[in-house]
Amino acid sequence: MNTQSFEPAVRKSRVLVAKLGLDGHDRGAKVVAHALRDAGMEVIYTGLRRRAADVVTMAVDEDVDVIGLSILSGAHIALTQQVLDELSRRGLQDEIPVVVGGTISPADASVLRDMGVADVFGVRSPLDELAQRVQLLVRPDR
Amino acid sequence: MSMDETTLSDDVTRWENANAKKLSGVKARPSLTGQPLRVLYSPVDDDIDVDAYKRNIGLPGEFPYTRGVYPAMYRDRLWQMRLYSGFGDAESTNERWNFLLSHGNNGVSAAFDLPTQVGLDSDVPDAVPEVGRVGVAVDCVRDFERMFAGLPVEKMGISLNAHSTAPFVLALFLAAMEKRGVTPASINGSMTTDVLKDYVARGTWIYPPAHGIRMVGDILEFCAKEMPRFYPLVIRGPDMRDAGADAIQEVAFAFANAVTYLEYAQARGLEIDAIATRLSAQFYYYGDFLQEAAKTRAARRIWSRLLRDRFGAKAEASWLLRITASVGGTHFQVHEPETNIIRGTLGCLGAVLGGCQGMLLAGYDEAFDIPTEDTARIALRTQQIVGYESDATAVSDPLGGSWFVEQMTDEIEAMVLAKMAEIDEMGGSVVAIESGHMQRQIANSAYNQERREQSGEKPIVAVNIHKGQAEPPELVVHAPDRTVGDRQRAQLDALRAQRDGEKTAKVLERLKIAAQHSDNLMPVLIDCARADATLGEMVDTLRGVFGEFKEPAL
Repeated sequence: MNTQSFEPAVRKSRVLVAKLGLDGHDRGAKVVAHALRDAGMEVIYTGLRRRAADVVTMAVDEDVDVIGLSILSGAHIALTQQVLDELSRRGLQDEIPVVVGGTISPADASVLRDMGVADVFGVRSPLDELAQRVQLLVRPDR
Repeated sequence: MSMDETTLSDDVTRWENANAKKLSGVKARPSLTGQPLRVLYSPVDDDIDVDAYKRNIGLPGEFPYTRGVYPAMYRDRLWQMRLYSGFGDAESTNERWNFLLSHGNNGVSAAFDLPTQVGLDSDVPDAVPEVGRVGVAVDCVRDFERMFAGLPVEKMGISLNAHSTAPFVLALFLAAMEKRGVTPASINGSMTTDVLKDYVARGTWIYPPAHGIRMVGDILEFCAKEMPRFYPLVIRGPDMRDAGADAIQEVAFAFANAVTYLEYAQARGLEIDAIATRLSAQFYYYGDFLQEAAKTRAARRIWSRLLRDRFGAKAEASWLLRITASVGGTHFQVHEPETNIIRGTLGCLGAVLGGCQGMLLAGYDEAFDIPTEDTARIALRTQQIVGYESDATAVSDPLGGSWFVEQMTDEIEAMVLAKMAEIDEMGGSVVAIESGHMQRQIANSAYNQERREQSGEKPIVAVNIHKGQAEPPELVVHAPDRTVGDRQRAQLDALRAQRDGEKTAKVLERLKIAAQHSDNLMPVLIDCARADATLGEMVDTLRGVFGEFKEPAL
């Protein structure tokens, strides 16, 4: 008896959660990773102290739909710019959207958006809403 | 009747006689009734199960130290108020330390920047954005000379907050002191040194755990011989709590790490009483201050039995656990930041009611940046007001006998012991770290906590309940000095140009060889510091021998 289902396998959205620089505070990164998994996404966490080039390489290798940067050291603008530059250098700036989370003032959030960041999440962003907003960034053709 | 046939009143009388000098020497303390307060209030014989009281609670300054490590506690002396402090370069840190000392800070507690914590010199590209940001930048002996310039180092307590880089920081510090004619034996203070918690939570690891533990052993052995007034290892829980651990995980994981150090030290042939008398612990204090106090009491009881019964320590000083409190970190809020002063006060009360020996209290601007002079001053004043103006310090263990606190103490003790047993069964804390067990438990706990806070199940004023409409007054936050990196680089360039390069290379080669064998690395590290080797050069030399830690996937 054939009980196999012929429904097409739904590809889960894939998100890379990344920590850049020397900052070891990964509580937020891990909480967000957990929330995205609960929302049905595949999450790859880079671990600590990654460079921009490592993050982009991992994003490509893991075929992710979105890159999420967690930055609490105060260096969010400089570090985000490094990742965006690295994506541009590889011609991927329109392929993989970048979101940023951390202690980010409203003024810095607009700066990040102007730089090309797709979404910004401050501390205590509601987790369910965060997951929905990340899901919206996944291109429908993926 | 108790088993040893003395009544509780007999015990109290004996205790009063044994400590008569201390007890009669304390300053009189008026009460709300007009009668002077005693130092200690105890149950009378008929009140309680006397056997259980004698076994589990006892009297302050006596086994199992539930009621505190000293008989007269704060009536004898208050805790060490030592704010965690350092930023920019040696001069700006020295200036802040002088400011705090002039306001009553007891000694100094050095905060190092992230490059220093992970062993990078200030001129390494990965280090550059972080130089002097969350702590002071140090690269070489000159930084320590400048940082301690003009300070009475032999007359004050000095805490060095270094973990993975503890051996290097200690070597540079001692070489700088030597230039002033100050010997290691005259230094009074502490170094955190607990490298295992870096893998669990703080994330400032360098080498694989086995090598980290070996260097902790080197420091313990060196300090037991050379630095009798120094506490060379502080078993730390706050980093885990900041990463989301609950109070049970905090104490259990910290103690599981302590077991690893003690077993290693014993295997290396060190006498347990030669090192255990100089160990202390550090825990975090949230707003549930009665339970945090109970946690502190439980931790002391667990420690005393662990040391006496499991490790066979004979000296009473090995059984008693001195505890430093960390107040304010992740539980300080961005919204209406001045309300964090009250959160800090509650944490401070928990630590004092629990009987801590030292305290670091964060500035109320902690969620934004490192403290300014103003917010640091208020953090110090908070401790001083609790210490001098409240009766939390008037008697030893004021919560002793509270049915709530005693039962919480018992419950916390049982849960911590169960979690420690779980780690023992896994094969110890290194297995629990390398497999990601501790990290996973903490991450789950952080997630559950976030959900509870977002749902309002755990109320946080102005954040998830009673959110106001008005904008709070603007907060002036720390303004980082962007030129520190350039100055550190210039100093490094000058140092490398002026020093005897051949001599430095030779001593670094000796360090490499010592690391390949089982020599204690402290003496040769001090030689490296004397020869003007930089922190990064020493760290890199050992990286070549030890390799690097690889984080387990979570």
